Amino acid sequence: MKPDSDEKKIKNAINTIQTPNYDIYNEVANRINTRKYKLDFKKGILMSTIALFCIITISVAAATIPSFNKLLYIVSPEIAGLLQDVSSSSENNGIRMEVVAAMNDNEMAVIYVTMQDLIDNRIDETLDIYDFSLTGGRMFNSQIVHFDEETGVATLRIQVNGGKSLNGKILGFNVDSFLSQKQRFEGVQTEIDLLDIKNADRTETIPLDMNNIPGGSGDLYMDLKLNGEIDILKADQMNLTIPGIDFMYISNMGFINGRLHIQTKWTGNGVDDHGYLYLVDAFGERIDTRGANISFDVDMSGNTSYGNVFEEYIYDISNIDLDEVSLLGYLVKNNNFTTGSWRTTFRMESVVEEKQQDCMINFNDWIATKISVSPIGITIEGKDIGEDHSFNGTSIYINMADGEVYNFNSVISYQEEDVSKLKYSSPLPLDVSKVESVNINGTIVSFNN
Amino acid sequence: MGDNNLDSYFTTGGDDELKQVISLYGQPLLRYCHNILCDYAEAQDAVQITFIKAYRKRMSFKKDTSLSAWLYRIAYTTCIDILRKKKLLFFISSVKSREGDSYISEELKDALLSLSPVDRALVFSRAIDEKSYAELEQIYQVSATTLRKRYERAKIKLAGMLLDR
Repeated sequence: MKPDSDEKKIKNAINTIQTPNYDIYNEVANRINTRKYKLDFKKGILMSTIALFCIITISVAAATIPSFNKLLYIVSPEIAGLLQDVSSSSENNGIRMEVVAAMNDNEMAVIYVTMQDLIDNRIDETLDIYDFSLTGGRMFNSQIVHFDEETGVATLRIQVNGGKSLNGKILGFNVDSFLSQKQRFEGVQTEIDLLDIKNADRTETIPLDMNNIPGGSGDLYMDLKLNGEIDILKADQMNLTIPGIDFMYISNMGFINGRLHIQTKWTGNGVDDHGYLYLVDAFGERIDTRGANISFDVDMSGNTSYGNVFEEYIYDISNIDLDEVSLLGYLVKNNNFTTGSWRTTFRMESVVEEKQQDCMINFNDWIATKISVSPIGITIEGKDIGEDHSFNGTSIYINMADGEVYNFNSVISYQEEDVSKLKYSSPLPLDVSKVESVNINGTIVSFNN
Repeated sequence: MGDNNLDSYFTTGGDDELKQVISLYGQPLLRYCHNILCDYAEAQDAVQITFIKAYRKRMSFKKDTSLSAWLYRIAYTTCIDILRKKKLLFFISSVKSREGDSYISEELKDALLSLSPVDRALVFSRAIDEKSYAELEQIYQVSATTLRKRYERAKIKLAGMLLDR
């Protein structure tokens, strides 16, 4: 093979990489003989910490994970003491809900709630509270952080906005329904041959009033909405099942104005079954393409109406060769929907411990002026943070006295008394006494003890 | 022992055959993994896992395919798995991984990381290892037509990044 000029450049560069040889056979033989080859990531990552954070985000079955209180002690015995002891429980429909802990750092509060099924198995690691409310505060989000398989107790973390106004206040946390026994189907092969669509006869369409739909998403969505009325595929002209999926099917496919349309009909009995379809290339890598998905229903005459029985996915494929593109799906089915009435009240108190430091850090379009760390997370106050500011690419992490480093990627931004704030929250409470500094995009802010 | 003979001996052999396979393919695969992962420690892990998997699955190796392509296929999928797990760990507010010594200059690393892992693998296989498209088809299980298109784009992009420095 005679290299061209680009290849010569690449060869010269890559040949500067040193790859020291070592006794590979010896290492391989040892691992084979000990019958394990656990991937040994960077030294210094505590496996217990990994397990801890895996639970928080992935919500895996927790058969080997200790109880919630023991979890906190793994992180730091002192942290458990920071949580305000609250005890407010409610039992209904054979399920007990209890607010077990709460803390407020004067900007955000976090409440830990447990739910346990006393008579059946309706609570599991996929618990997702559906209808819920918080009186006395503005709720931001809820996520499951732990599930104990032995006791069947799920622990939820509820994040609340409200600040100083919450201190001493009596709050009410109420749940009226939840979803569980969720099945996730990832990387599902639809087995649709997109070339068949390309070669098909002319596609029949119907008009859709974009101002009379529950909604949609995607970077094409707003463009379509501005059109007012668009053409979509005539509803329910096909019945193409996806292998292994019984709660939705592909109800039509075709091209409209050069864009690929895939229409689906959601037929399962589950509340909030949902998902999306996406294109991958021959290597299985997802193809980034402009697109949109739109929800709608049809009436007895086949005209579009308000509803979400149908979901139509639209793809701009102008730069895509359909020869080696596949359509895959990420689909979620909720097998259980439980209703009830769970009502709890508790008093919120302030957590005092916090570290603060003034700073002046310039980013592209905003300036950070103060950084605070509390057990809940990091708050950055700044100027000129516009509503449309994107925090993608902002890296934030905390350096602890024991050498550990914690990364953050969950952020909300809000205004408080003309001050712009960013709050990076931690899944579990931080031990503020051990925080040495915060690193924001490479700029280190140390806290003077 | 030639490559062709080693193919058949490896499937039925034991430690000696494993040693021979590693002596023949160990360093090239280590360099391959190093280029995809841009991290020497992870490359060491990846190449060890590759040979362990190959050893355990050796009975399933089909003799009408090339042992080299088979090993590179395992190494490629192992590296992709490592990167996926690493991305997952990083996503879940974990402890930030401490940077190991990658033996790659920062500028070159930036250039390599501007390519997707798949493209890094492809460029190394073709431009450095000079593998034929027939063998690349076996490694990546994608048609030669698609590989050519993808390789050309990745090669031009990487060469452009190197020129800018």
